Amino acid sequence: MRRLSALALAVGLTAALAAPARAASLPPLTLAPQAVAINSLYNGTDLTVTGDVPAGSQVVVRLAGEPETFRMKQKARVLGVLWMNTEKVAFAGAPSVFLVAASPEAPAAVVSGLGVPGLARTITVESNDPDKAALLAEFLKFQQAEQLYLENAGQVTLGPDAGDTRPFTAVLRLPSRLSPGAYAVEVLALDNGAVAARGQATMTASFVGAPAFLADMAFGHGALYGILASIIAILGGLVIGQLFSGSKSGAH
Amino acid sequence: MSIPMTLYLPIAGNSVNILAVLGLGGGVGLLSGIFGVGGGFLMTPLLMMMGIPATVAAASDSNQIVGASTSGTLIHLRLGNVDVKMGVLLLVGGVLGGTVGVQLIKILRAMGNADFCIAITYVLMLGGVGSYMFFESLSSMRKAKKPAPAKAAPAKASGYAAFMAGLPFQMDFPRSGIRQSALTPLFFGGLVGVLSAIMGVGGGFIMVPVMVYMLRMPMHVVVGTSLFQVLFTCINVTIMQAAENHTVDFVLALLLLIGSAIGAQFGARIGRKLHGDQLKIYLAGIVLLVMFKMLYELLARPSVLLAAIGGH
Repeated sequence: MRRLSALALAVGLTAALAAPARAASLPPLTLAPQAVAINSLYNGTDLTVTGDVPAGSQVVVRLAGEPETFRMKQKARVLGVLWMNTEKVAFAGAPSVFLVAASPEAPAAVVSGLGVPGLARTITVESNDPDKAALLAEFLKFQQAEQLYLENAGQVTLGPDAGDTRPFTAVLRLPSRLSPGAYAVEVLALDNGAVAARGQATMTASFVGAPAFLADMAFGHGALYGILASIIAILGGLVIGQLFSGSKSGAH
Repeated sequence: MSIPMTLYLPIAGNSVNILAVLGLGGGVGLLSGIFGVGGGFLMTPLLMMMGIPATVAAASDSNQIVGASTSGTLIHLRLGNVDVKMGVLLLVGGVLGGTVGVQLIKILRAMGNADFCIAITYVLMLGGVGSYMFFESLSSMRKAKKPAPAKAAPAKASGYAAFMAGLPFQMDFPRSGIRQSALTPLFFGGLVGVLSAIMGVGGGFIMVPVMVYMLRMPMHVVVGTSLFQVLFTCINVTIMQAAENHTVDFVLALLLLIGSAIGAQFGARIGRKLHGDQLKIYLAGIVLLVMFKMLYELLARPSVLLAAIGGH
């Protein structure tokens, strides 16, 4: 199910590209790792994408999380003095994470259209404010400040042409704020600034070990988790109190 | 093989630097031990700066305050600084007031003015409490330096004292060395409960001045009794937040707890060495600093004109 939604997301994103509708398909891509394990020591990781593109192509690699609806509040001046959260606003169809990397010689204008600014075409703004373009720009700025939408999120290295193709290696830096789920990875081969071929793959991320246990407890047995958290906190405080009282002098 | 310095927090959905969290807990725990405040009004904004979502920061902070105030309450109990009788009455009032405050927040949210009211309440409360404590402590420190002139006649009891003495259900609080109506701590506990529910904090920084100026308790008993009251308030908040909002990150709370419980031990000892007026003036300074920070955030144009719901 997650794989299907990630692929649907990839299709949705590629549909938004200013590119020929019938771009050729690339040979299968290789992802390493294919599945990211979020354990206690997870602090972001590198995702390596390798494959072949047509000879002479430049490459753009994008990673997108599943589309979500982000519910937020606008900040506006109240009484002409105070900046406060005011009207509610929702951004539907926005990927949870969006990373872009391009080969050094890819045209900057094309990369920009395929990158974060290009998301404006796929996100719907639900607001009473008529200036939706300004709201969307603020949303993209917010997500970039949160390090969830990143351009230059890695490096793309192209190999020499070998007949009709040339190999590429992309290394994307996945953020530490990665949620479990499916992520669509898309490789776009550019020929004279236009998308000539594209390839897709799916990466998954999931909790393992202690994070999996804690998340299951917190979301599945909330009250018990809260009681246990309080009891352990009290015991921790008592233990530390005893440790100090054993070594102190002068308290009475 | 190097020792890992980061830890992934599944509820917060982010990884943190272990030393940074321990240091943050230690610093806030130190204040908790010195002044008898939970420190939520300082810890939550600092955690948010570290990339923790606001709701998770506030709830996990309540969880760590449980541990820190246990440690602090324990040492103050040993030192004879906890008025349990007064603390229980304040707590009963606090729970009732907290329930009223939660309902009030629901009404304000429905009206769409909750965030505005919360921020304004913060600035007014912190500004009022901080300013009053600062100037009152300053004047009593000056008086202490000057020898008091001999009075021709005994001072007349203030109107407030006369009113308090006239209330029913008068009882002795031997630990504090005062006689009060049981209604007084219930009323003020309720008032702090309402405010702390609106502001989303333990309420120690409001409770301390209330005990000093309204209940006329001696400063050394105020600190221990406040910690005792904050402990039970935060147990209630932790369980409610975990059950209803799933925002308590136990791993984060545990890291903060280790730092803060150790900090509280040192804080309680430092507090014993400081004069009551010194304690009050330092706390007033901290409260005013936080107030100015919040006021600046209200007045300065934000870099992004959007806020995640639940954050502030």
